Amino acid sequence: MTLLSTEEVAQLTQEIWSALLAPNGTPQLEVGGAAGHEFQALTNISGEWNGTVCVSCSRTAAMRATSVMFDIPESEVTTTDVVDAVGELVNVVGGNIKALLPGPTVLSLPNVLEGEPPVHMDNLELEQEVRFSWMAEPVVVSVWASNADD
Amino acid sequence: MKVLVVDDSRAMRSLLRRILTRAGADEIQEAGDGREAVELLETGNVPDVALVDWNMPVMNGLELITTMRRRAEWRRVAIIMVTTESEQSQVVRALAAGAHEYLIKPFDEYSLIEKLEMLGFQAPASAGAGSGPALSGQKGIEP
Amino acid sequence: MSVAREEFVFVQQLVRQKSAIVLSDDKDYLVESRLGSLAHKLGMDDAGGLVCTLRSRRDPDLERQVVEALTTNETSWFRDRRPFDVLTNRVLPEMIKANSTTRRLRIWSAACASGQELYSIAMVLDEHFPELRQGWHVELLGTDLNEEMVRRASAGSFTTLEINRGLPASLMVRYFVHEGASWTAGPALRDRARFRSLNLAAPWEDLPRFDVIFLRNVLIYFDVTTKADILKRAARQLAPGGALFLGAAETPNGLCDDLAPVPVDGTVYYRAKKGEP
Repeated sequence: MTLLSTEEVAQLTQEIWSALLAPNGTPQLEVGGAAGHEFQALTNISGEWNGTVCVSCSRTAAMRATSVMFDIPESEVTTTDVVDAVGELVNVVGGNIKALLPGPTVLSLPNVLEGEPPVHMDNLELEQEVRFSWMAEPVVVSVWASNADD
Repeated sequence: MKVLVVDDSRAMRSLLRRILTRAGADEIQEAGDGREAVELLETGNVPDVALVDWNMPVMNGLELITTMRRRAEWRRVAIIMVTTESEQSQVVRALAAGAHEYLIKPFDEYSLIEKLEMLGFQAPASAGAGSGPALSGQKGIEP
Repeated sequence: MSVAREEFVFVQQLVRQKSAIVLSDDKDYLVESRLGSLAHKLGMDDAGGLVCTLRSRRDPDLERQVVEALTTNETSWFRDRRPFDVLTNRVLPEMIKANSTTRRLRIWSAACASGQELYSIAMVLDEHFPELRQGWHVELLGTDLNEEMVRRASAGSFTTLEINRGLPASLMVRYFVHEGASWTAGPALRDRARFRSLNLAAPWEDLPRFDVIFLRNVLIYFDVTTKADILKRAARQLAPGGALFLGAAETPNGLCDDLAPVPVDGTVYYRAKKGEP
């Protein structure tokens, strides 16, 4: 069962990037690229559909996104800022993905992990994953479905 | 124009603040959740417009709007929900609770300025969202 | 591929020439991102490729799309607001009265791009003139030179970024359906709206006379002779008493004597001077 197409996830993520991260002159998010998970931002969707949306990226990409969102130089970016900014990105990505899934569902507040191995999604099945390259840095959006009610 | 921005993300608040400044806001207050917003409102400094996120800890945006609509002195505040919640039913709920307008994240700068204009707040010409005779037909360009 | 300096300067001149807006030298990112997404919409590779096409031949339609993509309100709903207020409060009540025997109303959006203008008109009609739902023939036609734009307009599907632009939330939930990643115009709008491709500079075949014509922000892309010719033909295409709306910065003055301005509520629309020939 495929609830989400690659194109849908790619399009909405690119739109989010261009709206939140392009006004200051950063280039677009391109589809394709390697994995990266120095920062992992997670949000849970629960209700009619249950699962997790994850935005993971390299430290460089996270720093850059934070610098753009706060409009401050990267040298001034703190880890707290990164957690906030990347958390907001997964919130927006998750909210838009939630709208594509069966509802009604509720979106949790984001949770951001730093410097950990890729989160092992126990009892979760990969529903969709799209890898992007943002100025040669990895950004990955993955959607994991809970097996519980399938 | 006095604006209250309620969002649990400082990054989003910072982004909104920059747009609002360009749109000619004179005063911008920030709150990280609905409870903080209520505390700010309690001080008596009532804004003209509130931009309210939906998903926030402590008190969410829908609860905040409902609270604001119950208090006579806060009822005149124009409320724009600015959220990633984009299901049709959610928009309907927010409007029913008392939001005047609804902006779905992601949005671009001009869509926020246009929403403010719809509520009667005119951005200065340099903000570039307005058009038509007032600006001699000159279209603005993204700053 | 990024936009080279030389390409940027070309775009800068084009925008200046067509809109009198000066893109400062640091706006290359804007050109890159806006033209990148336009290129994507038009099925081209990237902004660089689009500029290359633009430089290789004179293409008023592509020029228009490029300039509009670089100016701010290209795809807004109820763009400029005032023409829609005048339509609602003045023009439509008059036309409905005048056409009460034929019970027919025809409106043309003459450079419809992705359809926001025509769908905005459809919302005005449905919201303010519910009496037209029964026993009236309401025909809304949107035309654009670009086939891809016609296809997009007919599909009536808009992204979140597009739906956010100037559309009141109450109308969004009333007239659009959120399906998948997009918002799609519902039956109240789509049942009346038709789209097809049309080159404004070539003869207009099979076009009826219209009670209202929106010909906004497109004339600037044509040379003076073509501009004058299009205005003349637009005047002829108006039904008796019909209204022509031009862009806020556009005027037929010095180009066409067949149109008489009707100033109203801080804006202006035009009527054909001569009656039915």
